[in-house]
Amino acid sequence: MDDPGVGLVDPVFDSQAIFRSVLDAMARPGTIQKPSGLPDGDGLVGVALMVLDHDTPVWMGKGAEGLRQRLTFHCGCPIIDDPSQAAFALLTDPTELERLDRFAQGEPQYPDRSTTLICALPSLEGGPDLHLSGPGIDGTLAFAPASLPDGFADQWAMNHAQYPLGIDLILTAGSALAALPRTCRLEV
Amino acid sequence: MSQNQAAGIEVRQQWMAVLARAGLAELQTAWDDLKVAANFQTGFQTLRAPERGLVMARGRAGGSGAPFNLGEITVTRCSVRAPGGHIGHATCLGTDVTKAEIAARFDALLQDPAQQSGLLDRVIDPLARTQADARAVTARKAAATKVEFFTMVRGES
Repeated sequence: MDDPGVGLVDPVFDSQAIFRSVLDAMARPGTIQKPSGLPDGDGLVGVALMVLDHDTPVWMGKGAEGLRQRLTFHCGCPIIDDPSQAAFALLTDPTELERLDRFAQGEPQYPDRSTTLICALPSLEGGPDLHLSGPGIDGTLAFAPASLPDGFADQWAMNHAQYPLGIDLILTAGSALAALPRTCRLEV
Repeated sequence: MSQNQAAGIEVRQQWMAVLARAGLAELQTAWDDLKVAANFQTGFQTLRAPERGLVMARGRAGGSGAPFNLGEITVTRCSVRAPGGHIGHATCLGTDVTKAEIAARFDALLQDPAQQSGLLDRVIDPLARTQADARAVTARKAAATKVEFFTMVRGES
């Protein structure tokens, strides 16, 4: 059998720590969080192990196939082919962010039934400045993740315009993470 | 699946069953002896720390063979990676986390071709014999209570 990899070392406290980090990231968009308890120091894997279980269908982007066995072993989550049915999407290739509309956008009565995207980037700093504003941000905040695709700002504008529907995005780079909830406005 | 693979799986199932049925004291002794004998460097990595859960045990009705839920049983499972890279799993009846971890470690070590025959001889076979003996004692005691029903058949020998 291939190696399913390490899970959360202390499932209860580590998942709480990671969850709190994601909560803070969503509440203060664009701020960089560094949760404890990430297995192998990997933010994408840690968030995935924290949120996924047998009730959360997940869609894997190209290049993320390597995580399949680890998630099946530790989370028992259904891995599906249709992104519009996914509760979560795991992306290791930032170009997958070029098309946000293929994911579940939520329903008017249940806006929370949208896909939450978790995307790994090379870094959360050093890229071109994005100016964030909106709930949780005092004025504007400069957020400069690396390697976002060129069309991202337009995609995000379309996502933002759908409020209360739309997707939410968690970005990870190594052991750091940040989040863009759908309420966040982004200007280049 | 090749015949070799199928045979390999069967051997592994057998040793996993022996490990799961062994008592904590026996496994702990076998593990301590192994460490002393091999000047063992632990270096095991925990993939899934021992965790307890419930499993629905299923049975089959005698006549029709239809499956039914027998009842929920508590099991403890653990998965580890040995220093050599082999992955060991254990699922044991009961709540003993230490036993599950030791059983998983043995499962990993037993997959190493270099260690397998030695471990089968020194650890698994003695445990299997103890378990078989215990089963035989129970079977004999049960057999002693067996009642034979004789029917009177008229006109036949």
